[in-house]
Amino acid sequence: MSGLRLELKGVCARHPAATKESRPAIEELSLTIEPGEHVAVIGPSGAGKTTLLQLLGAALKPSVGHVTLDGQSVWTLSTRGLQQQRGQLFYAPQTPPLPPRQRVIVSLLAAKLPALSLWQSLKNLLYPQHVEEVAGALAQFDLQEKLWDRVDRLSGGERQRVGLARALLAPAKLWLVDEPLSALDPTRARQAIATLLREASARGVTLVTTLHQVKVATAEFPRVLGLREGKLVFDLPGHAVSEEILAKLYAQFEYELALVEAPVAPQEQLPPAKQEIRVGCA
Amino acid sequence: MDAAGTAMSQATTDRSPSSQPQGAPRRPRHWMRLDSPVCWSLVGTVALIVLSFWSLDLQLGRVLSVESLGRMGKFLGELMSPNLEPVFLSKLLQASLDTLAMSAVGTLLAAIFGLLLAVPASRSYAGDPARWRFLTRLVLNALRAIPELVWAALLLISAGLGPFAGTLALGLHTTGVLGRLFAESIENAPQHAASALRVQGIGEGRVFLYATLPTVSPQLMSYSLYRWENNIRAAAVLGVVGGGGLGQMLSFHMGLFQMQETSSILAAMILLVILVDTLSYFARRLLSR
Amino acid sequence: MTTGPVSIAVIKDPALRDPAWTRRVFWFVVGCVLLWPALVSTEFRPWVFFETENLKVTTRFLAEFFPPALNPEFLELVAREAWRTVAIATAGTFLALVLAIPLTLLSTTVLSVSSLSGRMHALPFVIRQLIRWLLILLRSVPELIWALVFVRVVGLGPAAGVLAIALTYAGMLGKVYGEILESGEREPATALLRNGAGRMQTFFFSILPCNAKELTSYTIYRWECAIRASTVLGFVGAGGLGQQMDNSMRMFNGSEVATMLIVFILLVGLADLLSTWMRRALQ
Repeated sequence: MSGLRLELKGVCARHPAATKESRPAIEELSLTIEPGEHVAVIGPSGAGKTTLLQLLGAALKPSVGHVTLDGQSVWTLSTRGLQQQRGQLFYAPQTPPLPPRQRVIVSLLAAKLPALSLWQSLKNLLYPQHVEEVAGALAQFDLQEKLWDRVDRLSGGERQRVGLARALLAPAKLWLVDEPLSALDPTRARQAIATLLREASARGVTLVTTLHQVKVATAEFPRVLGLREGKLVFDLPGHAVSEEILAKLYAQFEYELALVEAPVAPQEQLPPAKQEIRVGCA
Repeated sequence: MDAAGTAMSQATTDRSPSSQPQGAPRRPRHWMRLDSPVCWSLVGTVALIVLSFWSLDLQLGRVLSVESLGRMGKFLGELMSPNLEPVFLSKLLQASLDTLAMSAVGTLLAAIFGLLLAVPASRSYAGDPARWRFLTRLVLNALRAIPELVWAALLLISAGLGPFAGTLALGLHTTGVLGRLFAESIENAPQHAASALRVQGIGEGRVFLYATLPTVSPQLMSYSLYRWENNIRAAAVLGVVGGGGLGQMLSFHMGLFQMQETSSILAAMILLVILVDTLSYFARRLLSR
Repeated sequence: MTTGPVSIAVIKDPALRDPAWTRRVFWFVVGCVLLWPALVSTEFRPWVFFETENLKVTTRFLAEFFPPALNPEFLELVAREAWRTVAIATAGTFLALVLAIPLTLLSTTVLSVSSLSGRMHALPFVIRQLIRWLLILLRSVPELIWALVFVRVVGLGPAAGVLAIALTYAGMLGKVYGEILESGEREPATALLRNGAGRMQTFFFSILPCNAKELTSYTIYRWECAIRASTVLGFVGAGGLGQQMDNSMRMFNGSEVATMLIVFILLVGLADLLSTWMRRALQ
């Protein structure tokens, strides 16, 4: 597997629910990412880091500008073409996208679906295949005992690691990872980022990740992008990001910078199933 | 907030400032004002109730007269001595099992077809064109608008007497009910897992199977079990129009004024309803663990 | 803590077999074993519809559906019967309300004076339980059965339907009213009771105002259900649209049945709209 080449040219994007008067989430962004690069995106809250990932993942259409994946302008493709392009990427949102009562193995196999035929997908629901592959992926994140457990029996940190482990199963050439370390303690965080980088190198995929943990970003990533209020502030090698540059980026948001490990993100509690009493006239 | 509070929140002054001493609080409007919706609803409701009683000419005086109450008392008295002969009891058991089977098969069919119809009847995500939504919802509403008994009466014409018409009638009506409930669950489900799969370009069918359905399935099963509680009552009753089971036995024996058998059948109905209510409760508890 | 290549031990682990598989197969077999006799006893034979005799009758009946009977006398009859259905439902729900309110008051723990000082005393507890069982009993007998009984006792006509709805719905209203009161705020009521207010005073000054919206909302919903129920009761002689439908079906008069079905669906839809509007106006 090799990586995807990404290009953004003069892109502006708004949130779907944003009003006309509010500032666009991303403004006038141009950027090229070569295949196999590892890129970290840092910046204070509201900088547009998640929006950038959504743009790169063809999940959000820009109001202005072009998004190009491997030389193909994404939004001029036919629906089928776009779906095929999407099969080549993997997106891990900040809150792990796992149905609560699903078992871990099925959640992981779901990431593999672009590579499975319809018949294979249905077979997997009935009796999970590729068990060794899944077990291997979980072992990379030290979760192999949780293979058959239900997702809602896991802790927040374990769920986040399961979400990351899905990347190892996806037939993707591009990994877009949003805040992979928010619910992990420092030791696990180091393991997780090391695993991600190692596997990305081994497979040659392009990795773009947003991080609150700027120390990790600057130490481990050969390329760091700084975003602030929707604009690209800098695009530097990790070691070249100095304290002053960081201070300027996080002006008025110093408390975020002061925390070496990011605060634990509030786990989105999926609302409990509402029991509707009125299901009939009896 | 009670009616007075509502009136206060809608209050705009109708008194000119000159008639009020300076600084005194404005007098809140009485809720019996002519333009308050609460007032109109109340008036309308009372009018409806009065009209209903008047137009029906129920002669409640006659119904609740001493003679009538005496007859009811005698009737109830006759019901107090049920028939407990083993032969009859075994027939009763068979009829109870038939009724139970009717309700279970009807509910199962409805859950399956309800789910099949709920998928086109729901908008899976914000921009989903959902071309079949209007038509499918129409079908579901028609199915659920017609009560089970009316369906049974209609189906008896084509399928003949017996529990089959009753089972299908339950199935058809409940498909409408469950289909609509399922569709609402699917539309209101958290989109988290589903969006992540859509970003990977996975087709809607597999997104449904791997993300949406696992998310909503506890709720769907809960609705189905709740509906079973309703259906056991309906199944017991459908027999009266010829749908087999306890209802048919009841209609038969009551027609012959055999009060002892009738009271056994009524007791069996009550027990069956309580049994299914309990089973459903424990099944729902088990599923939500 | 494996951060290096995946260890061979993981792959050879017997825990790679799906533990849920045996359990699922077991329950599937149990389901099939239970389903088979159920299908047999419900005489589940879908091919019955396609037997020549039945097919002839069905097609003839369905063909008569178009056009539905629209002659003025019949429409007048249908309109009258539709009003009767609504009247039976309204009268029945009203009587159910009259019955349910005292039963709820007697069975709710919110008005319990003895439990103010710790545990409820034995006698009030027993009385409350008995009333609850009475409500369960009223609820467990389907209204059609009540209607059958009342038709025997008071004769054919709307009175049987009204009484049947009144009794069954009294049970349902009583149960849900009880749930609403129990799950609402108790502190204002308890405070009043502690300060020596009477139970009825507490009800009018505290419990009723706090819960009025939910109670009314559910009652309106029940009224809507009563309209459906009163049509069904017509099939055993309790008057209204249902009785007319039964007559027409016995005579295989498809066009009349079609008109009445349409009117019934419209009626139910109208009641649904009215009920939703009123419930929303209450919010």
